[in-house]
Amino acid sequence: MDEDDEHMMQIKIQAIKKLNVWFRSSNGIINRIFTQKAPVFGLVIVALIIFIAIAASVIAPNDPLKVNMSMRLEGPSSLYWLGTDNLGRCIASRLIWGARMSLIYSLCVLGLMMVISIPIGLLSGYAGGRVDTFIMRVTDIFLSLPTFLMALAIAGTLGPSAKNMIIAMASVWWSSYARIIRGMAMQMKQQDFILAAKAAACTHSQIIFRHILRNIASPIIIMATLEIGSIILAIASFSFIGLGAQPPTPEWGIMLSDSKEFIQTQPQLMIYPGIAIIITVMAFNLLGEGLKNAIQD
Amino acid sequence: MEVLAETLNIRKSYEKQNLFSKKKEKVPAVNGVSLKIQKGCSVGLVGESGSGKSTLGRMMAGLETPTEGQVLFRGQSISNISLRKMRPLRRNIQMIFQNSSSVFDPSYTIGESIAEVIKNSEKVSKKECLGKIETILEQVGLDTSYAQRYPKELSGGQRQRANIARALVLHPEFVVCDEPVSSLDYSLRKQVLTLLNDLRNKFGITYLFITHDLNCVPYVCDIMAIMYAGKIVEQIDLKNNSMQNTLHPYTSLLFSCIPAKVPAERKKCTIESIIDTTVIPDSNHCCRFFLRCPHYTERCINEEPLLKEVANGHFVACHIV
Repeated sequence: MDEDDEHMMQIKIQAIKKLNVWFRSSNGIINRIFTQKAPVFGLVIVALIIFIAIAASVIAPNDPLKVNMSMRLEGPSSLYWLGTDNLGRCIASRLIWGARMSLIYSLCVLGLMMVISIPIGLLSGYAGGRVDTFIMRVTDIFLSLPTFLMALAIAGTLGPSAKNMIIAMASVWWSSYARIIRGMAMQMKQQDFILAAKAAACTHSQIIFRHILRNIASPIIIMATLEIGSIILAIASFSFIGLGAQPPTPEWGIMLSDSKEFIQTQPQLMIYPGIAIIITVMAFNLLGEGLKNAIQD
Repeated sequence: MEVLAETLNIRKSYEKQNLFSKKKEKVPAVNGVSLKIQKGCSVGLVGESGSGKSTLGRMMAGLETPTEGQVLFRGQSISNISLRKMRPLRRNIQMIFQNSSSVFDPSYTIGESIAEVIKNSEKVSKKECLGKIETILEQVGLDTSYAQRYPKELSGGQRQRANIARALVLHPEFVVCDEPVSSLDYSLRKQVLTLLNDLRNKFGITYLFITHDLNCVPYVCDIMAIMYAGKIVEQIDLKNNSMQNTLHPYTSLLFSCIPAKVPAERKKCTIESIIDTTVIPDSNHCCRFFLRCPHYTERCINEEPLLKEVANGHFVACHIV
């Protein structure tokens, strides 16, 4: 009996050791590439993009709006780092200013979304009952509207512009956030420390803002970081189809749209803004994932 | 003597939603309790798990609304008033919670949590507030440096003491203690009970002391109330009566379950013919204990026993007594 037990034990220990080697080696690689280096990589790129956006007027070698018809579709040179587009504008300068535009637009959308969804989600989750049911049905209505249709409708009535695009996006996208925040608020509301806060004579607003919001702030920040990537992408697509920022604004989506006629002869016109979008979106996603992992541990 | 807190036949039942039927099932927790707590006369509430002690405690602390009946504090109903109206009363009604691991907001330090209680009820300067926090932490036996720690950085016993400190920092008149010492080891238990006693003598605090440890009761309380299935079945004034002098069969069962101190006196923890069941009959027209009772009669099945005074300050709800 004892020998049997010991034998089983040996087998188990060996199995665990084997597993460990596997796990550690694969975990090690995953760790190095994805969980440890990636968020730092993302953070560096995000910081770089933010720096570029802030210092755009200093960094950009040329005026992004200056048309020079004698220098159309030129290759890279010391004056035009990445060459010029079909109107002779400096591509590098437009990309740099585009970073500023993308960040400003996406932060506007994000801010507007948060301003709408946080109070609504908190109220709905905390109040519960009929208030919750009513708010959630309204949210469902907004949730069912397709963003692009909404943007088309707003652009059709108010005219296409960056401002209207921001309104269209925020007015549709807040609903999914309100739902998530409501769920988190409901979960928090059932915690014992909320009862303790009531015993400590806290008012409803104190409970909502000082206890519930404070405890769900970090998941909200993570969500926001993860969302910026897709917002930037959506802004570029809106501008591409002509519903967002209007030419000649230096914006990545517009640059793509402007250069689509030259895709066969001058493909680099599309490749540059495309790469800029990919890098930005990827950087924000890496940063968001990293934050998520860091906070969940 | 002045009546501090009082319940008038309160009931609380929780609703259980069935998945497929619309009908909601009602699960009664407290089933018609009338309890008077006089100032300076602490009550020990004893009973098994699920007997409704904590629910009764939370209702008396004004943290839960009874389904029926009223809770009065100094003659004022607190069972159905808003948080805002409750606010001025909170200074005098506090609660020591059972589960100290989850009653502190994880994003607050212990000091911030205690300061919140003080700031909500009193207008004090930052310095006075800090002074109060340090005094109470010292009184419960915690180093003052713990004020800067987060709840997860404290051990269970330390958290429980911080929990007690938070409830007692304002020296309230009435404190509901929901098993304040059950998570503490014996040396600490004695220390905390002594602390509760000291503070009671010093500031005239009255406790509703919820526990399942019968040994704690005479140490802190003047009256012992035994709860079974959401009802008080026996209430003894410990000043005039001996604690051993119990009459209700359920109380006898409880007392027989205290482990013996002398090995020679060890016994099996059962009364003869106690039926080994924890089923509680689902009717309001019978004694809720009769299925486990060794002496039940026809009357126990058909009629609900009411609390009646059998001796000075000794109430029992049983047909046989």
